[in-house]
This record gives sequence, C-alpha cells and structure tokens, in this order.
Amino acid sequence: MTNRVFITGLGVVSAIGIGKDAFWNSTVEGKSGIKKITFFETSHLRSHIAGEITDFDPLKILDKKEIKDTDRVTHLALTAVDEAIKDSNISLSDDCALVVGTGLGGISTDNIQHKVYYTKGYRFVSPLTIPMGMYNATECHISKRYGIMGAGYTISTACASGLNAIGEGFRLIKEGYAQQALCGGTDATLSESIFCAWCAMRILSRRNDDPQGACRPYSKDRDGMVLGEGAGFVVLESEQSVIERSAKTYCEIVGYGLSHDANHITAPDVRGQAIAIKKALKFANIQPSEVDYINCHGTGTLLNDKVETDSIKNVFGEHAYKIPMSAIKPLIGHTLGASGAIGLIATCLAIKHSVIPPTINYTEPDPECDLDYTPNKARQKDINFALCNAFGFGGNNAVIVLRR
Amino acid sequence: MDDIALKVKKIIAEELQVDEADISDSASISDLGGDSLKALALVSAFEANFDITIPDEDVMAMNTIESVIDIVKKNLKKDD
Repeated sequence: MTNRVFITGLGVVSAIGIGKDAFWNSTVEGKSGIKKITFFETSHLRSHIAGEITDFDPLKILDKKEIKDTDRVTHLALTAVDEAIKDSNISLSDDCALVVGTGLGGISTDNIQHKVYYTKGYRFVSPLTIPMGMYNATECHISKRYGIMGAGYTISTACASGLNAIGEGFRLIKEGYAQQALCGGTDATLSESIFCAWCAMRILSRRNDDPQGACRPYSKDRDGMVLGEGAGFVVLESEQSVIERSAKTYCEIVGYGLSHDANHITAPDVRGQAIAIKKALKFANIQPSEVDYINCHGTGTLLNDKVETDSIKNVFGEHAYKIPMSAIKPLIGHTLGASGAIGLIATCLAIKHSVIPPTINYTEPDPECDLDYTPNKARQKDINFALCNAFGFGGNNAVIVLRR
Repeated sequence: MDDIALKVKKIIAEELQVDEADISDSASISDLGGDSLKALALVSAFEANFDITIPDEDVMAMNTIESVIDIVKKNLKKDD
C-alpha cells in the first residue's frame, strides 16, 4: 500500500511567536527573537543570548499540577500540538500515529535533580525525575491528552530529530499503518549547565551586544550559532482522510532521505549530507533541476554553512546557483530537536504563500558560500518542489521533499 | 621540565588517555589521537585547572605540545 500524504495542520512555538501566523509574519519580515538570556545568569559565560520564549504561558493549556509534573520540553510540545490540531480542524482518531523528535528530552529536570542530589542529598531526589526527564515522556503526555493509541515512537537524532519524526510519520501513513499522524520536534534547550557545555564547545556566537544580529548564516563574518528553545508539530493525513473530511492541505510530502556520515561526531560531512539529499530526490522521483527552494540547516557556524553549501553543489551542480535558499535560525536560534520540524513548517508556509523567507544578518559574501541564500529580504516566487534539510550531531542527516 | 609543563602533560595524558612518557614536545594533539573536539576538551581542562581564560586565537594556534604549554604559560602571565 502506498498512500499519498498531505500536511493539513501546523503548530509552532518559538522565540518569534506562538502559532503559525505570528511565526510566519516575523519570518517573512526578518524580525529576530534572539535576546539576552533571562532564565539564568550568563555574565561569566562566553555567550549571553538565545531564542528564549518569554511570552509562553503553559497555564493556557495545562493546569498547575500538570505543569509541576512535566518538563518544559513537554509544555512546549503540547502547546505546538494544540496549535496544529486547531489549525487542521481535525478530530484525531484513536488510531492516529504519533512520532516525537527531541534531542535533549527532559534535560532541565535532570539538571535540577542532579543539583538537588549534590546539594541536599539523596532523600530529596524526586521520584518523578525519570517520568519527567525520559525522552518519551512528551510522547506519553501527547498520547494521553488526545487518546492516541496508534503506532509511534520517540526519535533522538540531535538536530535532525524533528525532521526525522515528520519523515517517520510520513512513512507510517504511506505504508498503511495509519491514516493520520501527529509528528514534530521539541527541545527546551536553555538549561544552565548544558548551556555551559555549549559555551565550552566554542560554537556559540559571541556577538552578545547584538543579539538580533548575532547569528549570520553564510555571511563571511559569521561567528557561530545561537541556541533557541521551541517546538514544531504537524498533522499529516492520507489522501483518503483528506477527501473524507474535505480538509484543507498545505502541501504533500513526496520524498524523505536519510543517511549517516559515518565520520566525526560533531563535524558535518559533505558525503553523508549529499547521500540524504539524493535519496530524498529519488524517493520523490524528481530531478534536481525541479527543486525551487531549499530551507537550509544553516546554523551560522563556519563549518556547517560551508559544508552544507558544498553538499548542495555536489547534488545540484550548476542548478545549485539558481535555487533560492534560506536559513531561519538567526530568527529563532537553533532549537536542536525542534529545528527540522520548525524548518519544515516554514517550508510549508513558503509554498502556501509563494514567498521565500530571507536569511537575515547577511552582511558579507563568503567565496566559500556562494549560493543564493535570499539575503535579508523575502522574495515572491511560486514553489512547486521544496527541500528541507536537517543535519544532526552524530552525523544523522534527514531531508524531506514537499510538493505544492 | 617545569611544574606547569608537567601539569599540562598530566592533563593531556588524562584527556587523551595516553602515557605521560609518550607525550613529546614536538607531538601534535592529533599525533596523540585527539581531534578538534578533544582539543576543546583540553582547553576547558586547562582553563579550569589553571584558572585562566584562553582566547579563541590561542586555541587556533595550538599545534605542538610545546606550543600548548607556551599558550598556557602566556595566559597565566596575562591573568597575573
């Protein structure tokens, strides 16, 4: 059985807005949500900035007890899921599939409880540490809340997690395991001790005095990424489900490519990335010349942006120079396990509105990154086929192809 | 060998899991089995153990073990 799979609902929680409309408006306008971190003291650290979501109130969808007994990674996800379901106007069947991607899971809970253990002692450690912190806790709370009893799992492939989750949801419907799927990614990245680890990796931008201008993908003066927290979820449906309920659709998922770098644990690799892109195009049964837009991984580190550029040239050849691309991480930060899912949501909206979102903060061309990154200003363009890339630490690469 | 060089080599031995006796001044971090990520782990260990801050340009300049020791010493002086 090979069902066609459509995207019918979008939900996003990010530093530039909650809900697809707020997110899209800021994305097109290039309004960055990066600011000074308020969750903890950073003055002694290399980086002081991130995509914190300060207007987020979990009380809007959860009660006080639920909030206390769940990690922020779950609060973000439940809010994005709620948005996606409302957007698709769907009544989920109990056989709906559910796939969740997260890079770090409930790491804030782990951090808090480690601190409790080392400062107060073992008697004070909460028995809820594991059910709050485990990677599939979010999946459990979504399934419970919506009565989802169908196929599913939690995926952790670092920064590719969210896009992998959507790709796996696509496969579950395509192969007949489900008619509907709820899938996406979530990460509450701003946990104090883990933030120190990111600083120690010397991978974060040091433009602390210019938060909104800090992350500069593909620009010659780029000096690193900025972290962000967030969640992005989509509702996927088979063609049959779409027809039966006359659902509106954003676009169709037509290809999904996966690969490993089989190389360094943090450094990206052209060969592995190119394999994933080629597999996605082959799955979609389209030629490289048919691709009209690429939503890039684009982290703003020296290495990522050069390697991704080389991977795209490797696959697309001369056509690479004709494809507009963009990276949205300067707007919301790198949301790790959510980033691929939020990137895919931006790609859906780009197709729907026929608008290529900009890569902001592009100030200086880099001879090593010489493609069309849609610098600083959105552009009108009809998009028939679009790609979304997500490349994770560990060498996990995921690419999805969408069709108008 | 002075105390600082000894301490630097002890940290390298622990981080890269090599014998101190095998760490020659002319060896590079990669000769000892380290990569870019392990180099950053070394930098963090030097910063913590010597209570210094090593700027990015010094990290980029770390090549041989001799240069690593010199960079640690330079930054110790700077923080005096």
